[in-house]
Amino acid sequence: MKTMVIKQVKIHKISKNENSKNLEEILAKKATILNNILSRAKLSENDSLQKSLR
Amino acid sequence: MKEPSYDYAILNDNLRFEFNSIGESTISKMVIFQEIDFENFFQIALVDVLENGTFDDKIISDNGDRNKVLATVFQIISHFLNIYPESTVLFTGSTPSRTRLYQIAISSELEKASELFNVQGFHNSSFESFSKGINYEAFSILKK
Repeated sequence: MKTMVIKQVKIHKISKNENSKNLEEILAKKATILNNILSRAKLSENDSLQKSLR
Repeated sequence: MKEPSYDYAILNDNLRFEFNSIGESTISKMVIFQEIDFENFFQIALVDVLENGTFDDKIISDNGDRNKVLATVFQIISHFLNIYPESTVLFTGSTPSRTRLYQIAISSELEKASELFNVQGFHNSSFESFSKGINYEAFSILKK
């Protein structure tokens, strides 16, 4: 894993936890909510979601 | 942002960022970007890394540095969008009160943020340009 440090940041014991199951659960819950929101977003005809936000 | 921010470390191809919140105590924070089902749409999560190695996105740490933490997250979003300029960052709070907190934070920085980014809120089943005083369900940020 590549790590780049901006200035001097001391990070302790985080990286070894990155496969933690509960992080996956947090992300999965959030993804469900946000996917649902994007599915509900009303778009005008011929407009992609990305385009509608620009 | 006007607020000072923390330095942060970059991991995993600019998809994970770590920093320490330093207030009443020192709390390890992680910001994660993850693409969701819609192409080029990334969710963002801000979590505390707990002593036991688990993560918590609902904890109220009351560390006395809320604005500095939010300013750091905004800096990280800016960094991410510079690396992935075609992406849209989408987020909502882990709780209604946290969504309101994000709304307040965006409101206070909207003028500055709008110079570089399109900031939108999701309201009444559509995304619209962010306006102060409207309660949004979610927010999106992308580069202009």
